Amino acid sequence: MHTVLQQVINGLSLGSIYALLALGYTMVYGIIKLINFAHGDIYMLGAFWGYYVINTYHVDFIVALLSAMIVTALAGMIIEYLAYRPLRNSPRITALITAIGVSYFLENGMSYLFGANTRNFPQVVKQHNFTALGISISNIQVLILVTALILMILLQLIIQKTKMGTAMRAVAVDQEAAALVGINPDHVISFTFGLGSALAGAAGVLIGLYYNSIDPLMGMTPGIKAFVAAVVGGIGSVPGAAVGGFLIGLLETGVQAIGLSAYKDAAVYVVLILILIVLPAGLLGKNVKEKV
Amino acid sequence: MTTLLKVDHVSKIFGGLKAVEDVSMHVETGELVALIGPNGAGKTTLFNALTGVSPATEGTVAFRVGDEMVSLDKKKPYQVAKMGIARTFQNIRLFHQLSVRENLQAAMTHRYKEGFVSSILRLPAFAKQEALANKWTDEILAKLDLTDVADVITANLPYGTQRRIEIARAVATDPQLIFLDEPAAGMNPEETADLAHLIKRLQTEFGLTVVLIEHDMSLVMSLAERIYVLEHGKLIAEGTPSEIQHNDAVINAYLGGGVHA
Repeated sequence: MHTVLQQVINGLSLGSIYALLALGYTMVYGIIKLINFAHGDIYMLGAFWGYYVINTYHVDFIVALLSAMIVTALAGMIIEYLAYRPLRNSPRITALITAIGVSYFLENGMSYLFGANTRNFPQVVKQHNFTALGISISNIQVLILVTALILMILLQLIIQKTKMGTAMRAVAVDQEAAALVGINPDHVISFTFGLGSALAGAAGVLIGLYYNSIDPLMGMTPGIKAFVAAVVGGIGSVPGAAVGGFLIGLLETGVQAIGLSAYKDAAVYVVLILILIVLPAGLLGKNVKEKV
Repeated sequence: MTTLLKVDHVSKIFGGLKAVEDVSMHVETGELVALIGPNGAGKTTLFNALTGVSPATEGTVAFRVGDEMVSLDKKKPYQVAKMGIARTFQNIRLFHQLSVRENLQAAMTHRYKEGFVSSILRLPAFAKQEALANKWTDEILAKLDLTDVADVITANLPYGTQRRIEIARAVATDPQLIFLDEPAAGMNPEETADLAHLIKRLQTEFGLTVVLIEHDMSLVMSLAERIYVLEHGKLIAEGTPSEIQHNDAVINAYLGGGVHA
């Protein structure tokens, strides 16, 4: 029982990272039907920015987190503007391949500029472990969970309660009709990239704290797992991405706990395949009926 | 009267097909004008050219803003909407997963400013703007008899109601000119009668200028002050309903040669 609870806590910590990343995938997909494969690399940029400001300016966790969110939001918006906007009316596959290109560009660009070696993320928050009832939870795990939950609540408020959120939901349903009621789709799409990238940046700083190590290729696997999480939850669905993220985190730690560490990535991909076969719309996916 | 919309020699060419050819027309402020023609005559294509969705190949379109006529030629759809032109669609294109209220509020985003920070922190400035948007929404909902369904997801509402919501959403953009693309399509006679009453109210009560595409001739003849007739992309007639009813070219277009109604 203890082991199970312990693994649930570990799984939720890791899952909140995946959830933050999956939200960006799902929002961008919801609005322009693009699987933004460069999203995992935005997370890497966030982690590197955190590493840089903490080491250079000795800022605390909050400043590192917020500044990383701002920097990655800008990076996401610039990438959208330069790489995806010119392809707005191109076939979807063109944009998808461009996204893969952007991903390689960011990974190799960072390796080229700053070196491909792994570095230690500065431990700006001292780790303490609390033990209760035989279950151990670290303050960093609590920090990750609380930060992720706050960001998800904020995101939900933005989407449901603000003018921009309403515009986002309108553009997601029908971009042309939205334009004809006075919404500038380019602004909304740019904002969506900014919002999703900020969440990825936050996830990058959090994972730096959690795993202590970062490198330019760190975004690849979590990026793909977060994509799986978004698909599991139902791509395009915001609550679905959060749920999917936590599920994938729990699954991965669960597989490790039963001694199959070597297969933890494989388990995630098996889930992807199963979901695509059994429930292609995902757990909370919209029931899409193509109109003829 | 002053001219609100002026269309000068507009053509729309798709490859080798002239969908709209050399159309010139004008709409005066406060008028209720109908655009009719057989299926495939180019009516919706003309609407699309006028609203920036699919810009005209040739010709110019100008719209009155204050005292001057502003060209719409290089304007994007959202800019055209902001200038005061709204439209509805032949096949309903509501934001289906959103509630009626949210549909209307999505159409108001250009009408007020809302700071990002103030909305996240729910500062008084945000509350004030939100109250204003809610007030506008409530007014439109009440006038269009949609208050009861305000919080229902639009996809779950009956067809006739969805049509009315589309008109409400167009009104929510605070337009001067509204294009209605076959609003009576698929409606029964009773619903059509209600719609006719509503369109008349858009003109009288809301002070809008209305351009109507419609196949239901009794509706067109009872509402329109002036009618333009389009056939094969060309304007073949213009006039009052009684003039159009007796125009030989129009009778030919609709019924084939030699028949008199």
